[in-house]
Amino acid sequence: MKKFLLVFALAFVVAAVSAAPVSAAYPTKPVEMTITFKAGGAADISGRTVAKAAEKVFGQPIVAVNRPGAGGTIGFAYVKTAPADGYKIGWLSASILTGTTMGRLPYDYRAWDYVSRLVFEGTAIVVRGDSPYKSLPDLVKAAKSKTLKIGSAGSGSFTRLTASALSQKAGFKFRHVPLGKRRVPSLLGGEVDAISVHPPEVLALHKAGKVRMLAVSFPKRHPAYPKVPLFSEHGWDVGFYQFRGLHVPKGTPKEAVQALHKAFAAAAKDPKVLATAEKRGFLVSYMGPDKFPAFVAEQNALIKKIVVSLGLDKKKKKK
Amino acid sequence: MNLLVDGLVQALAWKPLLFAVLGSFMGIIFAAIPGLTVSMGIILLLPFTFHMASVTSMSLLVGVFVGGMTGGSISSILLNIPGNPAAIVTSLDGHPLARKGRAGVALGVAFFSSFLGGLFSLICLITIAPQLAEFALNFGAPELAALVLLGLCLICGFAQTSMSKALISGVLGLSFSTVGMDPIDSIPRFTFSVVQIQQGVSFLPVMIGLFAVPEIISGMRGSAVSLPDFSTRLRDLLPSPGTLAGLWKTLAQSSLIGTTIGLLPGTGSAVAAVLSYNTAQRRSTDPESFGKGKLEGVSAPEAANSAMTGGAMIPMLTLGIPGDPVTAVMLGALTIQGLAPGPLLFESHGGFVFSIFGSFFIALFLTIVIALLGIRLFVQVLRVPPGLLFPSIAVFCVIGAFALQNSFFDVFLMIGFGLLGYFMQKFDYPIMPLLLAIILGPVFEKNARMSLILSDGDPGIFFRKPISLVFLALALLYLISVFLKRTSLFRKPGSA
Repeated sequence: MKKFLLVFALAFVVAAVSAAPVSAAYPTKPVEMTITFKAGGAADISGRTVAKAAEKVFGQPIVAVNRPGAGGTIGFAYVKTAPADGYKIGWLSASILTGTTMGRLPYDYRAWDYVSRLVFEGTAIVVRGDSPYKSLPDLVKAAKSKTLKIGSAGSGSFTRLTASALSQKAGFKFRHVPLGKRRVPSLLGGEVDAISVHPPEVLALHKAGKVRMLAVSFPKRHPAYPKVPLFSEHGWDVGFYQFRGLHVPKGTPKEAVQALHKAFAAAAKDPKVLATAEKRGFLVSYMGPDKFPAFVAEQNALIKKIVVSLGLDKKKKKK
Repeated sequence: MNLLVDGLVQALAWKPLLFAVLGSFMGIIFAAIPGLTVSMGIILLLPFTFHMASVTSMSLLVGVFVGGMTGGSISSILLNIPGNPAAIVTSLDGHPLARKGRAGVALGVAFFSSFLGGLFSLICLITIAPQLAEFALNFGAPELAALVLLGLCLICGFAQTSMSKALISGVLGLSFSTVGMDPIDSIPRFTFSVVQIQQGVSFLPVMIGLFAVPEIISGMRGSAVSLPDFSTRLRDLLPSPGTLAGLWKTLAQSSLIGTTIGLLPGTGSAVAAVLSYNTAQRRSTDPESFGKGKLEGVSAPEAANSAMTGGAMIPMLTLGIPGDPVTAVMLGALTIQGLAPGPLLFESHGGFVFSIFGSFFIALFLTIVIALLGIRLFVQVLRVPPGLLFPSIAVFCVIGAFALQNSFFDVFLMIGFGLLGYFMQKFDYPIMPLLLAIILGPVFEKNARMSLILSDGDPGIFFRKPISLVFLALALLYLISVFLKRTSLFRKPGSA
């Protein structure tokens, strides 16, 4: 047993990572950016692309590290407890607001400092190609007379909150099905009437006529699917969008925040980032540290309202 | 046919070929080294694929995928430590064969079975991919729940001496699978307000710990069994054509099972391997000799896990739906190149699709060549002194568990489950039911609860769907047959 413990102790030393020293000028060494979702997913691809572009102005490597798990909760918690020296930053998404309002993290969105917003992603309501619903008003009309089954990535997911907010605005009720990874096959197989999903996941099927995007919740029409109308064009704007950006541990020095802001503002204009945005169906929309914290607060209020109205917050569940 | 030749020619250009060699090699190595997994290899390679041409990056990823399904058998057979979830059952018969001095034959059979299984799924992919993708859409939540329930029943098949011990192990696994955020309502369960526990008990670190740590401890205590020496001449290692011909039935049914499982998102290679192992055992004329070193027991899981690769690529290419983590990464790599997989990909980029088929074929071919040439090298592992071998495995386990999600929590999980595994082995509790329950438990819970949401709480949904009814009937029949066999065994004195 002693030998065994010794072996593992040694193994720990081999695998250990060295601690960060304190320094005066920023940045003097590579910065680690936590991505809270798996390698290869939407958050990972936009995050890595933006970080790569920001390096040019930043002058030091920005190393993307995936810390996935529990809907982003693991990675957000990691950034919160990391040293506030500007060398640990996080690629956040609106899930930070769903995670905190639902009580999955024991603090709210104010536990971090916010640097900048980089991108928006849409959320689309999608039906099968052979569905009788040709437009969002068709679906809403039908949903008022019978209960439709609408699926999403999960009960606290951003796509579900968007669908629920739509139902409240348009005045219908539906049965929510948390389909997880099987959301697209489940729609194609006819288990549900519609799904709420990020457009890149269904774009190829939409173009082939296998599914139909009825409408998308997005600030403006996207060039990859220009004919799909926005929620707001039907008068049902939900007001919140999936956004991604940069946050840092609370109390990170101002100079570090400004240096990051400068580098990422430049990345938002990088042609490579814009080309990836076009292919992957997201929208680059930069907002700096002067306005971003207020934007997050405003989005948090909207999301919290929906979460509470659905009874997803912790207090209600404990009752 | 012309398209096929064109695709092969594209995949044979020097750059894709180079990366196919690299991919197959890395796949084999990552799967073969205990602690490192193919998932980890893919995570490390992914950032590089963003900057590669599409044909090249697909060659690399397909190479890793195919190589990984083959490489896992090496450490399963030689060290009794599965290097990859796909190979968890390969050790059951593979390692006893190695102990009898037939490691080379076991490896040869494993490699050829992988090759043939992969080839079968590739042929399905080329010829009837759209039809199979449509067929797979018939598997909704109730069908998947029933299929996974059947998989859970197979836990009984891993009872070596005592059925109660196997069931205890299985129930323990099911209990662990409830830890973390629940899959339907996202409510944290048994997390004791620790944020890290919300991610639950992820099965890769658990697998690494459960299988590797007990072997490390036994090795360090000097209780590892020394294996008999054997010839390492290639001619003595290759299975004879007669041996392979005798396995054709196993190969055919396992390839079919593997391809089908690959089609279904959220099931995975471990399920394919377990189902086909069990099928081979049940349909054998001599089921009692399984687990003691039967070639069918090596061939079945290896053919099935390789056949899964082609199966998993079918929904990915035709509908843009990833069937497992590796194809999810491929999907990401393709979309970033502006090639969105879906029904139109075959029409708009038909040439490209055929180059993927070409890379797949080349990867299969390269993998078996590398593996066969490498046999002589792999078996040298058995000659490494335990004092060097086991500490190195321990280091790889720590690195491998950490690198999956960059989380030290996973390292502790690995060590914790490793200690559990050691004591379970010591007291004769089988490990396989525990691991199977941890893999299958969440899939079952999710699909069963989702079925009930879809049916508004009516359990009839499981019985009205023909596919789900068939799986439920099979599960029941299996349980009855196990019960009858065990009661008749106990009646014969001395045979249980």
